[in-house]
Amino acid sequence: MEIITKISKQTIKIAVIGELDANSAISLDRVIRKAIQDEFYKIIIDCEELEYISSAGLGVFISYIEEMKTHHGQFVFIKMKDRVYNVFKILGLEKLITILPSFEEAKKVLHEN
Amino acid sequence: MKTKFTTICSREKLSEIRSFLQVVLADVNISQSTRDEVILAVDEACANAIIHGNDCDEKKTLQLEIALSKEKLSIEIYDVGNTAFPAEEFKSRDINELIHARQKGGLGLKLMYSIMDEVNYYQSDGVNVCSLSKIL
Repeated sequence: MEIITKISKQTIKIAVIGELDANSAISLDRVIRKAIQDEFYKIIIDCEELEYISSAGLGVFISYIEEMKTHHGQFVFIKMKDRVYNVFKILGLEKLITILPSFEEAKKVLHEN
Repeated sequence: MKTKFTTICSREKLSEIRSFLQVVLADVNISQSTRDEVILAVDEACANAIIHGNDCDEKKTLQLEIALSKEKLSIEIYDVGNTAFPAEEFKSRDINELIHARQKGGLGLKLMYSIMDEVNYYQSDGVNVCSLSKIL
């Protein structure tokens, strides 16, 4: 399940709740595709209630990184639990994306303060 | 000791598979993070078999067999899909290459190989087998 909050003209927050696997990743993909179509290129992914992620979930984010970059945007992940962070770490993904502890810090990085 | 679980080839069954593994692995003497990683590796193998090997055909079944000894945890995943999951095709993909190509797939096998000590794909009497093991 995803809860979407508009922050500004270019920035959106998507809270991903529960387990993100090869089944639920389909819905997340739809949500992110729609956000990008609506020209939200700075996307904060709130992981506070994300309990599990598999490669299908990671794949959704990875597939949009280049497109967001071309529009000077990026994903910023916040409030990630250790068990989810560990999956990013196994693949070395934590070095390629921005993971921050709080929403406030994410807004700073995205110049939304 | 061997434990078996059979389900249909549906994406929706992946959460049931993970719940089954939580129960079976609860008493295995490994850390919680290792347990989580093994469950992830098996989830990836099952997702590959369901989606790529069986095209999410719910008439087909997937069977898991878990064997536990003092030294080793072995998980075998059997399916009778027409095509075996093309493991070699996905194995060597670089993450930067996937990002650049804007591809969604290709990370599952990387996770499986990183987490497990052994990953083998083979066919036996028309059945596709994915064999995973972790030294305890």
